Amino acid sequence: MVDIMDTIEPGAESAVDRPLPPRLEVTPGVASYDTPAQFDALPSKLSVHDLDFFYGKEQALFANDLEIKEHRVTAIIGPSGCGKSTHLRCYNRIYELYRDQKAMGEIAFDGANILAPGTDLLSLRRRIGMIFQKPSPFPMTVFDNIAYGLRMHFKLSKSELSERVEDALKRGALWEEVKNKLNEPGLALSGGQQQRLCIARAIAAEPELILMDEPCSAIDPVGTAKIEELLQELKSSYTIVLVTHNMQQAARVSDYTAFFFEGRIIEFGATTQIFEKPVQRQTEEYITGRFG
Amino acid sequence: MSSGEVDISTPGGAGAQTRPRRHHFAFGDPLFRWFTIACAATVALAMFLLIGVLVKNSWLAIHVLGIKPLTHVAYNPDTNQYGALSSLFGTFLTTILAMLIAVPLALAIALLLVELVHPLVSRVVGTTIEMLAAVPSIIFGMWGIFIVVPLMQRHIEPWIQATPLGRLGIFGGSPVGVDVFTASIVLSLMILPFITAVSRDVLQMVPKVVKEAGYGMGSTTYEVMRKISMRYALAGIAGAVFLGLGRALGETMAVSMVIGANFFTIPHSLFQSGTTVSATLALNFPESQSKLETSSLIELALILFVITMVFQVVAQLWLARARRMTGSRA
Repeated sequence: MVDIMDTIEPGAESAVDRPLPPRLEVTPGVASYDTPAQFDALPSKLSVHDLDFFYGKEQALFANDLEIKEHRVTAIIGPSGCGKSTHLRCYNRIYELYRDQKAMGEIAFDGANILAPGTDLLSLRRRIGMIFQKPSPFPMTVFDNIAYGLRMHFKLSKSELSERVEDALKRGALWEEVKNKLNEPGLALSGGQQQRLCIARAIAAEPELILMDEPCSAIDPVGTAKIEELLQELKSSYTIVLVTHNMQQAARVSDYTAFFFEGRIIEFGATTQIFEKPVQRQTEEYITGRFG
Repeated sequence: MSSGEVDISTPGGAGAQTRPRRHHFAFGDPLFRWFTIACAATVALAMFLLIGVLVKNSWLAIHVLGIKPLTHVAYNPDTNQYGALSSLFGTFLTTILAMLIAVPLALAIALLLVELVHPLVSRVVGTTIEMLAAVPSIIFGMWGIFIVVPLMQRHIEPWIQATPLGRLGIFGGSPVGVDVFTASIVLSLMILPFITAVSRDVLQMVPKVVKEAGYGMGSTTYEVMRKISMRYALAGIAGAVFLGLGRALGETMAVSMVIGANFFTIPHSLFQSGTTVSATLALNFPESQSKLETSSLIELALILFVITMVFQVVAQLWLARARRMTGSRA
């Protein structure tokens, strides 16, 4: 799928009135820049160690090691089919819905290995929210969509519930647009609004980590800009992992970037470093658009 | 139509020399449009003609008997009694009972096939169910007479009567096997495959990502099925149920064979024989003695027709409302 953002010429006025987010112009200091020493000192929300993944007999991930730092946005980039989404789908073990998919290795979430048998998946998935490529509102009203996780995981009175729903919609930057449409079906919203609805729905359940699997790939540029704006706001209170094939997006919103290629993590570092002076030849070739 | 192509690369001069591609047959689209409109109109026309024929041929009975059939139970042409209540009662009772048995069972099977079992098992069982849907109703009737009726009469009905349930009036009387209960069970098995197959298809259409989102929120399989899949597929499942209902209301052969038929009373126990509208029609039409009797039978058909129409309209309205509420697209 070609992202619209990639196809717009620099300098050319887009069809929409709203100015597009700035093009790829990474200057040190734009993203919060941690020195290697600071990086090591930051607490890890999640650390992946030696992660292998198999689709049947076919191995898709090879010995992945990755540190997801708390209150940072970590972007995962790489060409199609390199294992970005596969890697992300291990974090909440959603891959287990499908027979013959299996992960091996260790993913420590606040110290506990979530790949270990006996992990409480329901509470794990409450603590780790996920946003998918396509907006996925549930077939119910806007209100019920947001209340879904709240009703399932918390005991709340009616007034508390509507308070929390309003709060989640505000944090999802959707309240102003839907406050008069709470009783309309979630599927009646526009694509971009649906995706923010899903983000608000995830936020409502009070997760600690939010996984986003190419959240803007099915959204128009205006909607994308709003979601990116939202990401900037969210990162003060959440840890976010963002899979994207849009390098500009990774450069704009993330603090750290991991470059995946053929199931391996080729390079991982501060986003500015990855985009300005990548160490690995493959990373440089991908960043400069020579392949992928 | 392959005689030439427009050269789009050279505007003006050079392009002027290339021959434009010959026009498509200009009337193709309008013609097809009118053809489809005609097809659709035929269906509507057939419907109105059907009502017309029913009304015209039952006019004599309507004229002579008025609304008497709707208030009388007994049907006996020899004594000029043309009550429709017994038939209507039997039709709706067997249909409701059959739906009560078949719908939950069908939904359970459909969910099982889509969400729970190995895909291979799902395919084998699914195909079997589709084949079951294609079994002619006379075969169900014969199976009913030779297997179900004796089984009910000798084992199941006495067993039910031995349980505390037997004290209820609706399970009273001496078990005959050829009764409303047996008819409902045979009927439920006949509509089960339909409802299951269609429900399974619509449940399979629930987008993977929506289900994943449900699991991603920390839902159990049951919660995803009940709160998400079922809602998403609601319209389709309702369609499946109406399909089954339509078949149950109209089913003639198998029911006639196991319900006793030509017992024109309102049974006060499920273990009593009864009749249904279609059974009454099938059994009495060929032996009709008088014009009035024939006309009264057609009136019976008209009554059933009107009732089912009203039901369908109400159901559609309800469905449209439900669809709006959930935003379901299925």
